[in-house]
Amino acid sequence: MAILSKLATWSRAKSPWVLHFNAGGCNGCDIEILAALMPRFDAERFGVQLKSTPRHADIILCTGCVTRQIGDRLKRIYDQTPDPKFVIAVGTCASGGAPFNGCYCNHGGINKVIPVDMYIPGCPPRPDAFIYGVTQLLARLRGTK
Amino acid sequence: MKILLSPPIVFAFALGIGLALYRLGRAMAPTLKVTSGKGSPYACGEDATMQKAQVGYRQFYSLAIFFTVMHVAALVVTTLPAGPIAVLGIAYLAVITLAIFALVSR
Repeated sequence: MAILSKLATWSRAKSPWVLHFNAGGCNGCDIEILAALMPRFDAERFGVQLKSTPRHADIILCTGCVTRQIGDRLKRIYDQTPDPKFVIAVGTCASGGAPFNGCYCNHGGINKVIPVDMYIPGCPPRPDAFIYGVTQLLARLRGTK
Repeated sequence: MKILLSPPIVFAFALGIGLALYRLGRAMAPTLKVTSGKGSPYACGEDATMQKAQVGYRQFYSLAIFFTVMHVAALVVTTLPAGPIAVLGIAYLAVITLAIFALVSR
């Protein structure tokens, strides 16, 4: 069983499929995520593939400070993602609300609604930072970090 | 050896492999945590609006009959014995043509 578990971990780390979710951001981080997935930065060389449904995703890439309106939707999508799942908060707003923290209309960060495994700061973070964050998460998944 | 390749044995073997893969996947999968959103259909986080739908097979039925008739006709014609009796095939095909005409002009 240990060998099978290792095999599952290896295959999981080789094909981390991601779901991109904007929880009320300005689209700056979203554009950088798309840039990272495009051929110039080519995050797909690490097996990262963008998926359009949480049912097929291993990682949820969240941007935005989580508006009150979208908080329940984010929680539902998190529930719909199969285990084991990981959440990456992309950008300063997603990490802690940034200038919108404490505002009446938002939760002030992804971790106020769902558990977060990795924070990638920046306004917006560059594609390099995004790729670095994902590779760090994969290294942690493989147990080498 | 021949009995090992007979359809029931092969089917049972394939079924066994399928069940073994299923049990293995179930054993390796994390424990299921049932939440309200887990079983709900994915609709971008929104409440999925449910509606009843009755699937109709009327159009598919005509197509299925057409292919069945044509397949049987091809089978009958190709397996007709040689000799003068093969002329009966022409009469059979005439009946088939009428059947297809009735099906199409329905």
